[in-house]
Amino acid sequence: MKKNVFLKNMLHYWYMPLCGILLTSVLNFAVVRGNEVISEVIDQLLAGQEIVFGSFLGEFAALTAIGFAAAFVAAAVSGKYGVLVSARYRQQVIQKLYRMEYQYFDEHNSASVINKVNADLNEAERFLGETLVMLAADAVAVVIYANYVRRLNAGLFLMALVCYPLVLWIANRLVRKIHSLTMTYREKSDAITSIAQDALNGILVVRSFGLEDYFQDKMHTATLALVDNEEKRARVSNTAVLIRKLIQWIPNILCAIYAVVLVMHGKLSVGELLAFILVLSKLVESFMGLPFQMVDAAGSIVSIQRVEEILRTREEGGISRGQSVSQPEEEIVLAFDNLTFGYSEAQTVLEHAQFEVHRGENVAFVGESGGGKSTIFHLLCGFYRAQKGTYRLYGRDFAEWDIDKAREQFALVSQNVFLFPASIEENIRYGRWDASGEEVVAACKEAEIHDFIESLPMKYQTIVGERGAMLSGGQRQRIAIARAILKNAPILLLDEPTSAIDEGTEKEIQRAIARVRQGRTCLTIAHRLSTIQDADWIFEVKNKKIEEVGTYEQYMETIL
Amino acid sequence: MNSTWKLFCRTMRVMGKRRFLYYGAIAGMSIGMGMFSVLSSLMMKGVVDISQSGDYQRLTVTVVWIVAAGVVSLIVYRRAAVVYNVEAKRVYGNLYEKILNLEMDLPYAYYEKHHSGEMMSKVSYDLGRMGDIYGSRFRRMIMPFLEVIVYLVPMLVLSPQLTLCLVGVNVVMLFLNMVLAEPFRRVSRELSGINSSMTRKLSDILQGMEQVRMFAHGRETVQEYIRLSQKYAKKSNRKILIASGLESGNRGFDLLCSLVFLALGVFFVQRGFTTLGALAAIYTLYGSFSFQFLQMNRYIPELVAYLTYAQNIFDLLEEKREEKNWYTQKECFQADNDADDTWMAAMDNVSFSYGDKVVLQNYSMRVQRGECVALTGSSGCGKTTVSKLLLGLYPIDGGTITVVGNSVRNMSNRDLRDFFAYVPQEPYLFEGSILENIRMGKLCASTDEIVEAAKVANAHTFIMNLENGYDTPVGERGNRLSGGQRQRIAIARAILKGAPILLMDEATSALDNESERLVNDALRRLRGNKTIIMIAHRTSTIQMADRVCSMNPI
Repeated sequence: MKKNVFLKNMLHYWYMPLCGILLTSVLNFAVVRGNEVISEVIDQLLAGQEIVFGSFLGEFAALTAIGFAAAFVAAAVSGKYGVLVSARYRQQVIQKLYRMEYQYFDEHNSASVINKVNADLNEAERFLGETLVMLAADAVAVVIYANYVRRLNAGLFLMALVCYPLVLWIANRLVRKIHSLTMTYREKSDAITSIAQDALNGILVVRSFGLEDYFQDKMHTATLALVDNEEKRARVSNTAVLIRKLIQWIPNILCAIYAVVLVMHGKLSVGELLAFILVLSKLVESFMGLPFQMVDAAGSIVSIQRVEEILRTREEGGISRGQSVSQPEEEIVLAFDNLTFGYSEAQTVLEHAQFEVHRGENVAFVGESGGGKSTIFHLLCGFYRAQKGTYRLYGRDFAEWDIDKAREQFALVSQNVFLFPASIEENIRYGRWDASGEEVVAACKEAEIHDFIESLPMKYQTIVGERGAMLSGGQRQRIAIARAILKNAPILLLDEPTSAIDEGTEKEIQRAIARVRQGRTCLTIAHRLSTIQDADWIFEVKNKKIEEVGTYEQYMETIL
Repeated sequence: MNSTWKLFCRTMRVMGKRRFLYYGAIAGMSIGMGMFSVLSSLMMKGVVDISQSGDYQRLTVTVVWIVAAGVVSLIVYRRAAVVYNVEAKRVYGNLYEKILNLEMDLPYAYYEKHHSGEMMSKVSYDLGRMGDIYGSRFRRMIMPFLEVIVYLVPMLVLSPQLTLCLVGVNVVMLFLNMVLAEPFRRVSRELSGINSSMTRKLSDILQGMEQVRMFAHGRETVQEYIRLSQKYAKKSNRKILIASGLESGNRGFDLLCSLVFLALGVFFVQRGFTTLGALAAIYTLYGSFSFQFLQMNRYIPELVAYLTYAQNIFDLLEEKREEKNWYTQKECFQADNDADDTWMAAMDNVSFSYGDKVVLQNYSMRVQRGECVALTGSSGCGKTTVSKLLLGLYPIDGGTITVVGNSVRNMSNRDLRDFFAYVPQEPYLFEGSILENIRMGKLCASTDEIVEAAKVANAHTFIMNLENGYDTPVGERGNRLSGGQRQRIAIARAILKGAPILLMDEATSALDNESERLVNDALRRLRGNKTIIMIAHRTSTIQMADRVCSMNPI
């Protein structure tokens, strides 16, 4: 059975929607009772009797007051319900995101996840707060009104009963048709945006190749296509509006004619006819509301399913095991034993990979790009699980580690350093949140980034842009190194940036790294020969294996 | 107020003459839809009047006439709605074309100052909102007014006294709505503020997931998000209360109106001011009337808010464009391809500064025909600036630049750029197939020419190994291809252009050794045939050059 978390959350506050539905029913009863009063009065009027306002005014005032109160409480309760459930749900989702297998983030880009958490959860909130109660209330209203019509005249009731479901069915089909047309509209309009985006992102190429006219033409064609599509869409969707309006009208016409016939045969009083017409408009409103609420609900359920999918994703192993005893006295710090791994079952990246790193060693990985070097680092940090074989950290199977504690052993400086859109200081402090100001500065000095930071007008308080856009690759790298220094973990994982770094900067980074390596076990993914010169040991990642190459001299012999 | 009105007029004038068609369409929609409701109510009136008077023969005629009129009014509505939608989309598309035209024409400095993603998202956001003015906002504001009039006319005809009383009740309701609207807006704004900080936090967590998990503080970030979420839930309470107040007001007034309606109706019928049928008609019309009446003031502030987006777009459209030639307003000379061309490119005593920062001072460099020159120097010394000046992306402050014997002062920027085939550091590929991307070098090139260029660029083999060969889509920014593959396609594109000078800006810096070798092989093939200027810092690249120019920072 699929575990449906959302349903569980919904049931957690079950009494709230129940209360909402009950109160909405009360409101509808008040409306029906009010109409009955009207009908009686009108019949009295037609019978030529004197109308005494006092006789029904009191009841009517009471009904109004009840209606006001019921509507208010019902709306408040259901709104609150939506907020409570979605807040609970949101919390579960974020905790899940923190814990789920890392692979999920390879397959889904962050924009789509944000969309799921934001748009889809808001949709769910709206569904619970508005649609759900409305749907139930409309259903209740239809029953109440229909019952009233039935009591008035069974024939009329049958008439309405036959016509409306037909209308519902047709209306539903039309809605679906429009839906698909709206989808193509989205595509056309996305096409326009992407042409503009493409031209702007590649402006240097556009300009140097004189492609302005080419893009202008392309845009013009896309615009024409959009207008053309819009004409089609507007035709169909407005024809649908036309047909729907007409179809909705048919039951009214038929019921009205039938009612006249009834009056003609004396089966219905004129007062009742009037009351019927008044209730009919309410009945139609609720009845017509139903299919649209259902379409709404269908959309919301899709949203909920999208979020459910997040919650169903597998979690990382080793959460809160509580076994935190690190064993730093162990000589072999890291070891892969016959390890096989692939991002999917079909395509393996590593097969029977084997390697060991001893304490205090400085090890470099070389090999073709895309050969799986970064994958090794991800495996070491426990972002992925090996399919076969074992990975031992300080001699103990990684699966037995508490994952948070295991990660405390590593300081990772990855290739594309992500900086949070906050101040430089906060970004560095991420390494150890309670570090003092002096410690932060000391770490920056060690990473040779202090002077640069001091040269900025806001110094350590400079806000770095999204993805740290304001800083160069080398500067970001050094901030990441400072962060790693602050974390003070025994194992340093360093993924060298491939991107352009001029020689001066490269030297600064090298010096910084050499300093950080002191007293730590260090693994480097190297792209430059200069990096591997001081490595104690070199591994080459080749043909899904990790091969021991030996020292720098030995490596140079193999490639020459 | 006055300026808002002016802005509104300006927004509408964007449509040109077609705006009258557009206005007409909105009027047509309002009248069509309004008339349909009026006719349905008249049907009810007819039914009640006929039953009361017992004049049953009239029934068929009445029903047929009303249904026919109803169908006609719906057809009017449909026609008008189609015109409306098409016109709204047309103006949106035209605006987008104008914006793109401008965006491609801005001075290069603008792109360097503004992040392209930010620029793009801002433009598409503003433009989307501006499009909404035409597509919905304006109609939403104006249609209730028109429809209220359409309803009001028959209601007044049927019974002026009763109608006026009902309008009175509605004014009270409108007032209540207005009173609650402001706090509602305020609390909504606060909520959306919290919501966007939640989104920022979430986006940080997701993009920095690796760090979030690797550092103990990451867990704290997750907690912060949860705290924000709880704050959001708490703040929502106020919004719910106000919304419930509005909801109960609307529902309750429904009942209250029935009471007023009944009391007044009975009173008027008794006095003979109106008939029972008219009463039924007014009641059925009243629902729609009431709804539209309450909509009337609702969309005006929204429209005003949306006009600021239109203002942003107008401001952007007035942004200064790149000059045809930086130095003179006069008609440019035609570039002369046969001018003295021993020096393919020559910079003599060029000075250039970025704002206050002097980048080049009396810089000179000359490149001969067929030469391969490497330009080196530490980062920040102005290598890339040299390539940008050669391409005419910035005006120089002093000295001269001569390309194929023509001074940059005497030819248009476009002519100048035609002399160069440029390969940027980040090889940008456009969405589309590999074939289309290479063809950008020369739009009229045949497939054979493209294949030839790809062969020279060492790209043909890997392209043929792809499943769909040259028709393989490159993906957004070419992300389906590796860096080396992208670079070789960019080189093929430059080769296809057939320009006399190949200008490469650190084209191999981001590549791994294998890809670099392939690119360098391609370059070796071009040596001698073309004049090559390459900005480089890798020794392997520099080794290929006939001559190395080293730059020193100022």
